[in-house]
Amino acid sequence: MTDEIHWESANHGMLRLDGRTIGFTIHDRDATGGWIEIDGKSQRFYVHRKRDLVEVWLGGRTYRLVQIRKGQESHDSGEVRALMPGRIRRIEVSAGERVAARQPLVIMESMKMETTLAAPADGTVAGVKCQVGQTVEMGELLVVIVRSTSEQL
Amino acid sequence: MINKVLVANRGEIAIRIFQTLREMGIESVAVFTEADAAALHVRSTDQTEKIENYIDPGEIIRAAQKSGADAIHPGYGFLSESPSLSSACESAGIIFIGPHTKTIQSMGDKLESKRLMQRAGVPVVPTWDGNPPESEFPVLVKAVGGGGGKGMRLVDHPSQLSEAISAASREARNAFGDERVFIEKYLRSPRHIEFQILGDAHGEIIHVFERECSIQRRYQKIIEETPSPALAPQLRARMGEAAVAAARAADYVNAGTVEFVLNPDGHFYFLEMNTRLQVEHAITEMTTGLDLVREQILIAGGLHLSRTQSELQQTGHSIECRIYAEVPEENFRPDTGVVAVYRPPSGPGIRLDSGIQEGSEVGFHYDPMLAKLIVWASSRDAAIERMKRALSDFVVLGVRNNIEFLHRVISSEEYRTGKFDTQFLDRQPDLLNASTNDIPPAARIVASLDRLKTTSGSGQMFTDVWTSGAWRNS
Repeated sequence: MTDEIHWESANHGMLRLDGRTIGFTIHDRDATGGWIEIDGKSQRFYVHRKRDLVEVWLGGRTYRLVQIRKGQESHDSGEVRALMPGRIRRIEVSAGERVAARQPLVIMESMKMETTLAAPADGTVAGVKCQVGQTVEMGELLVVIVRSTSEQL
Repeated sequence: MINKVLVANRGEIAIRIFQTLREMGIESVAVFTEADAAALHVRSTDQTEKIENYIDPGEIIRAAQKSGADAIHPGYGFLSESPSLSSACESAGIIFIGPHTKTIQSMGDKLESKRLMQRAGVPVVPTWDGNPPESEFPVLVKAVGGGGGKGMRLVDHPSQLSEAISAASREARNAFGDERVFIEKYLRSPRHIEFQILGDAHGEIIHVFERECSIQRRYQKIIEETPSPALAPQLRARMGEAAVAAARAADYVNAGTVEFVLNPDGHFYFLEMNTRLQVEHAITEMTTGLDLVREQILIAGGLHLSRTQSELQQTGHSIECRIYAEVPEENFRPDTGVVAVYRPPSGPGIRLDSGIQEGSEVGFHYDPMLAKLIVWASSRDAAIERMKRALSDFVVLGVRNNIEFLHRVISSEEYRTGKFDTQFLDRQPDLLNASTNDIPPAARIVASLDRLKTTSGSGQMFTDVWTSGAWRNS
């Protein structure tokens, strides 16, 4: 489920959700967070941006969001990247293969621990960008997945 | 008397020890490595000494001599259970705030400690040097010099034993420099319950009640509480007596912990003795009013215990959650990075022992524990509600962490009933996954707000579309 957000000023805007239009206002914004008021209800939030990833803390949960640029919604590609520096132990898929969400793609070894990188969604492997035995840096692109069906706007 | 203490540790435990030292009017010295030059514990004391690493006793002694410290507190981990530091202290004429070297030696040897306890009449888990009879399987292969799950293997069938022994030996040699392993009966669903003990140099030994440590991941504790929901007063008294007998058998001086496993049939067995302050010592402090670090320092200074056994009593209920930089949803992999936002909870009955601050860098050099969140309340149910509230107020951004996972565990019906054992997580695999990945509209708005701030001026209207971070690893 995605929604449309219209900012009308730096701290006020409208949200279109399920055919309804709801106003929202941001209060007491500082470097790390503030309060968001929607439908008369206020919630504390904190926010941290790291490159194109945004972490939002709201109501005891941390949401990790990545922006999809306009026009990408229908042929969405997912990049699976190394979560920390390490070595590629095994590669479980090859290009063109269909994969299901959570299916293991690559097994990495870092800090004497094995980590399994899994498919983020159902889709097709568009490319495997690493080799067994290769040493990779954090954030290095390992596998590209093209999502089979996209969520509708 | 002790005038200046060097703390041979880092992170939250170093800071926690400094706090008591300041209350006692005793000067403190921090040690730090290159990787820790900007760490919080270095800023939490007046005097600091740079060292190459935390596990070289010679360096620690030199730092103590250079700084004029007359005592060393080892904290937990690092050299706390290594006889090398306590014996080096003896040679250098520095007070080691911990037990005698020979106690550390005999308790550090998991086989010798069991033999000692058996002679003292303390029940121990059946152990074999050679091949156990087939009827005794499954068994555990464990490192003689180890702990923390390293050098440990579960073996279901005799045919897998020799391979497990080789693997465990290799791991033990790498982790502890000691490849010796032994075989122990595997108890299927035990609880892990430990007793805090205190002994002074005049032969007085008391126990300061139990800590329930059954909630574990990868053989490491993540949630502890006291009192244990499993102990009726009679069983508590019997285990407490056994703990004191165990400490007496080890000639125990200073603070230590006797670990037991408790079987569903009510039988308990000595597992091992930890010859140091435990990570989870705070829950004992919350329910008894004792400051265990203060007791340690008084004992090391030759004073008598400040309380007798009959003067001690537990009030209310305390729970501790260990906040780790790790991702439970991804097989508990550790995470690293800069803690961009750090807002711990506060309020009645909440204690935070923290090793970090906003802007701290969490690296891969040391243990990924960030802080310990401890609550106290008048009852177990009230303590659970307080912990849920505290966890849902705890903000850590920039480094992935286990706060939401801890909240799921604490909120689960299985935890609330108090009827669990060390297999808790294996029985509740659903707790490993987030309850929902739906992103509420407010979170999308907040995410786009940050974008608005960085890319456009006010008054401009545009639409952003966001998706869950679960879709793209980053």
